[in-house]
Amino acid sequence: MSINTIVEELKKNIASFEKQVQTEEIGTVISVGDGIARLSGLTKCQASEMLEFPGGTFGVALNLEEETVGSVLLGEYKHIKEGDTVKRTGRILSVPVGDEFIGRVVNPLGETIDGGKEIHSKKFYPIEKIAPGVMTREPVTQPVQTGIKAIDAMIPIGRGQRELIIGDRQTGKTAVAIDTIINQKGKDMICVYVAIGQKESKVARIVAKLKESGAMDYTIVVSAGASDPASLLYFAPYAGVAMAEYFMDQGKDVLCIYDDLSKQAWAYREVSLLLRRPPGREAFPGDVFYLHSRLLERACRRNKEAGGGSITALPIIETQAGDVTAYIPTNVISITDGQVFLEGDLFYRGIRPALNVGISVSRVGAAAQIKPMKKVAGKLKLNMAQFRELEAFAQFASDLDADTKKQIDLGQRLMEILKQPQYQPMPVANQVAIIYAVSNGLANDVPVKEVRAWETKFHEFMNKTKATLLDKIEKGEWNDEIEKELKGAIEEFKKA
Amino acid sequence: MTKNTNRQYAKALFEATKNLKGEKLYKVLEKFAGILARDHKLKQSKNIIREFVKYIKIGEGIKEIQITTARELDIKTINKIKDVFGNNVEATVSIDPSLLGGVRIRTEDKILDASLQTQLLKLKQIIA
Repeated sequence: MSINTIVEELKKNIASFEKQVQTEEIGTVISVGDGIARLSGLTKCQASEMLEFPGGTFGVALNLEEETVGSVLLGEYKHIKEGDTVKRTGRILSVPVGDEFIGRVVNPLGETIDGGKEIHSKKFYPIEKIAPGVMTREPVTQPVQTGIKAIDAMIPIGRGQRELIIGDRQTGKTAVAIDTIINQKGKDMICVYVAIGQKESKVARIVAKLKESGAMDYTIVVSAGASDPASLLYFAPYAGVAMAEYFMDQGKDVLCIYDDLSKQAWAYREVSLLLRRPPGREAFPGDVFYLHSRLLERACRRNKEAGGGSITALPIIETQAGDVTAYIPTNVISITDGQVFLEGDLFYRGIRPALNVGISVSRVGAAAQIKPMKKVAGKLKLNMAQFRELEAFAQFASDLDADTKKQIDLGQRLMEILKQPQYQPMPVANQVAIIYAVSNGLANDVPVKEVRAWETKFHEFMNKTKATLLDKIEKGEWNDEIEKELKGAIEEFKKA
Repeated sequence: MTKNTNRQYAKALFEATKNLKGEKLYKVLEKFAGILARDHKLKQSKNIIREFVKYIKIGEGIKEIQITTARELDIKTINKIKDVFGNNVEATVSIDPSLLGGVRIRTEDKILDASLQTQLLKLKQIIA
């Protein structure tokens, strides 16, 4: 563009500029503190409308009362004092959305916090939206491959499902979520990881890990850190799902991880108590169920007529000393379509991921599995269930009859192959191969302690020499011929 | 039960002192101060008085506006502005040179901004 055209453009802009009286509706601050402000005036203020305080701080109107408005402040509030003027913006709280957010770390207001370029998006999505209705949905049929053998085989997750990850602190909840993100590479999935009340160092470590494994190319990280105000922690998951909805509206599949919702519930409790809403059980406000149900209902698989696309939600809940009967865990268990239960005991026994197979379920079930996985997983589940019954007798191995011994033997081998190191998700075809091999007794001659080493070598062999067979399995093909071929390949490996 | 707001005290005071004079008015005021002391509201008395004044003005249909300008205005212009808002208007006029020109009027819950400062800011936004 030459200088002349710029000048012309400017002239045009200035000429078209019209003087106009700007009217703004205002209120005054009555009291401020603890991230909460009470305002008078603002008679026409809407619920969850953004309010502009002096100094560029924004707030959200949450309580509309007869003479006052109760609002939370989304940022620094030390400079705000009694008598200050507050302006209405006329905008419901919304976040900027767009493709340019992929690969970035943002706060719940959509501002970048990774030190990179600022994002100026023109599109905004409201953070609160009513979930899609019955007529726009369809059954969940496609799998989300987590790359974790125990989950993909026994607790399959489908695109559009809501699967809770629950467990005590330090049991590997985040690890399951991060592995799942890493495994989405090349699977046409966009991931949104919402970190709520996490240490900044942990978020930095996760982002570094995702970058290292190339997963940031399809991931957005929304982070409300431990030092952010409670209001931001409360809004973070809604901001995350709003960004996800933008991609779903383009017919894409999105995976949303909320890490973790117990901290969000605490933040909401803090805000509610400060706004003087009456406390209920465990001092949570009365609508804490709605807090989570309206968020998780937005996960869905939409049908073609409604534009397609899906949002899969993996909420995380941290329990205290394994107590799943606390208020928030029971609520979220009842909302979701199943849960992955992680246990400290198993974790310390070296079974990692520390999945309790007995009480973990997925209510979508085998509908979200590829055919070969369905075939081999059925047998695996049965064997594992029988093994759990007999496990207690394992110590008296010498006094047992041959049948029981055989079952325990098989169970121990299966336990070994369900162990999996962190950050090493496995392709589904390899999962099928190894589960087939062990549950059909083809690895019975390998000592239990050497099963894992045997497995590593087996995968190497398969990837090197049987790539076409794995491809077929990956595509979901399964018949007697393929089964025979797989069996042959395993025999071949054993001979080698 | 929620605590009484300043506005409620002001309302109560207004209702109680309506049509009272002399000795009786004095007694009611004394009682009222006693109630404030009982409710630990003496600190709020300034705000309650402010609410009281506001309440009276609303009751008598007086509108309050604040006019801010860059330079001093003559009475004629001020009266013209007042007329826009009705015939029972009380205006406080202040001067803020940073407006550069024009006028900014604040009513109870609205700001009418016709200042040069805001216009220039808007122009800046459009050009940027």
